[in-house]
Amino acid sequence: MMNSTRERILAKVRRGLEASGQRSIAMAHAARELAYGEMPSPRQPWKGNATERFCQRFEAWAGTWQRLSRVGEIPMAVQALLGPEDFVSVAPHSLLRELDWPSQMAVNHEAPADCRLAVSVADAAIAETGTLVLCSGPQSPTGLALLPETHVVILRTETILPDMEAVWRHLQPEPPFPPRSLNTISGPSRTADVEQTIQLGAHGPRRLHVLLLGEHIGEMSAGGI
Amino acid sequence: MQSTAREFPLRARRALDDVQLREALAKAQDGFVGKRQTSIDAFPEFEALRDRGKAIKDHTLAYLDVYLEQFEKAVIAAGGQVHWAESAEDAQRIVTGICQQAGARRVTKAKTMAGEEVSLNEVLETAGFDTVETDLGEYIIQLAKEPPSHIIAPAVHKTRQQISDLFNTHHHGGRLKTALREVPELVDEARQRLREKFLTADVGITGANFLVAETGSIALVTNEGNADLTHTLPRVHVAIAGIEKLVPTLDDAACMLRLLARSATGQDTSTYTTFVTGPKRTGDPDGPESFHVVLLDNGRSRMLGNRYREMLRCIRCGACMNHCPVYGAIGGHAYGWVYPGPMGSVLTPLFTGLDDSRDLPNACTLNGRCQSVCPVQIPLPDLLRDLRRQQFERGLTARRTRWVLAVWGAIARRPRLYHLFTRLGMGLLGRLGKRTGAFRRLPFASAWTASRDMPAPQGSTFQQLWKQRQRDAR
Repeated sequence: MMNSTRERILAKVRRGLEASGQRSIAMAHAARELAYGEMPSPRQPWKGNATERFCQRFEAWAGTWQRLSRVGEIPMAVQALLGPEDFVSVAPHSLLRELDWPSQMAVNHEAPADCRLAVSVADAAIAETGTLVLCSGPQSPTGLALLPETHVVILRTETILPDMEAVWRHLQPEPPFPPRSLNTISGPSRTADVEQTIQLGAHGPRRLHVLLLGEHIGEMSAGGI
Repeated sequence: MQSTAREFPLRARRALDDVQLREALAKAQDGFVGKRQTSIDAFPEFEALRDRGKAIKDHTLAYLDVYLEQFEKAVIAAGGQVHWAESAEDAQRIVTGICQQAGARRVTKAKTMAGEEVSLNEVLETAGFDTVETDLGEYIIQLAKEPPSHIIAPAVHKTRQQISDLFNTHHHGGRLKTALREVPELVDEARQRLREKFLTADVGITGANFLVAETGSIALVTNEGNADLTHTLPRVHVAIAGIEKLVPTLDDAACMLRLLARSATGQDTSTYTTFVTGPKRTGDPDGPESFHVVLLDNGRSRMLGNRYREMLRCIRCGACMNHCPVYGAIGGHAYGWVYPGPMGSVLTPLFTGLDDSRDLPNACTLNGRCQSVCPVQIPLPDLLRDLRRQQFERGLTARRTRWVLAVWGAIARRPRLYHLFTRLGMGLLGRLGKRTGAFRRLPFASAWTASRDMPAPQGSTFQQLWKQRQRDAR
């Protein structure tokens, strides 16, 4: 039954296209190359280095960021963002597990429903649009990017790439690509569904804060905080 | 959804009398148009981007059978299931079946126009599932028991006061002492209510902004993050999408996303753009146990074989309605089906039949703004004109209109006769209206003169002026 529906739809598609019989993916790809494949997509032009561009665009999305000089500074930076009653949900990421979390901080590695603040590690970022890229996986629960009031993301400057196409090239060699959920995130959650007024904190985090690690940020000052 | 496009004239008239609606529409339209323009001004190669968007969709449609099969194979390889739905009834049966099989009680939904097209909410509710829309705009109109009036901003016609009243009635039984007035209060209230639904849902249903053939991924675009909560938290994720949503590669998706965000909301990118590929993997801390894609035909394959194939490029951004003076005056509900505005005036007759929606192709001034802003360059005015011609050929046009058009055609095809009539007509009207310079009432033109004066013609006809000018030039 299901199969015959499939065949009927494909037959109707082929009839509409006046395509006789099976055509191969190779044929389609050759036609794609001819039509437009050889040219790259136009994109937003920008000047300067990728990190600066990322930070500037990320701020425009109401995201905040600060730079750290070494990994060991992460717990202190997270603690500074914490409310008095809050506990921290930390992604089970190798980079974060090794850290010395202060004993007075309540740290867990799950994504509980009442999560106030969560810390994850970005897989990449897009300079063109000021966008974080997070891939789901054993070290990165998707829920951590969605459930907390505040989401803190560790970003290494060497993973800030010019555009989305570069992100595909960067991530593709890793076998589980694409992951179940590849999230690209530009600022805190927002809605304009009440009278076209933009309001932050619709369903996801109200605050999105990036901790930048790496080179080339010595002369830059923290943004938006 | 049952089409009520037949009642278009009545609904349009009623909409024109609705002051609140007109205020809401004017505000929204200004906002959408301005934001889009600002984002495009900052993108020098936007026309080249539109060319590429058109090329991507044209190519994909020309090889749609190949890409559908490639997509299916990739979804299965990622551990997902693909279901094919020829009709709305097929899609309803498939989705209901998945929910029943999952033993679901609560179903959360992220905005899906394909879902609206096949009346998913009504069907799931009738089958006994607690079905909750999670996009704030969709949630508001679900409470109001209304269809969306815009494909991007479904509650664009609702004022803050109306939303406040709806929340009071549905969340507090009308007993709230101090009404929620400010936007942050209303958004917060919805956040709290819907968070509980997200956490207790068994099945999450989303649409798909794009289907990526090479990886079997679906692309989901939101600003709220509701689609991500919908596909991450429940045990089962179902995505429903029209077969035309395919793009060949992730690179193609990246290009289309640049077009979509700018055309829809004037953003460089939406806040959340997500690519979902299959269900939860071994070792994943979260995600659904099963992942289903429902590929909906529902009349689309029929469009591939005629000139309406161009309409299948549509990426549902809403730019055409944002720039349409008719939509701006009457809003989305008057159009009577799922898709309003120019794209709806083409799609509704094609999906639900020309007989039931005969007014839609005619409710258009042919000003061409929709085509000039369309990110994939769909010739909407041409397609609407084509539908008018079909109506005329099939005798669906009103008798009086046919008669007037026949007379007009007979005269316009005979230049001498045409010049004679225009000369006589102008002379007569010019003399009659000489005193006031305008007519307050005219026979056969009461629809025009009811709301404005008809200026009296002055001087000579265009043809006479033209001849005069040619003579002077010599």
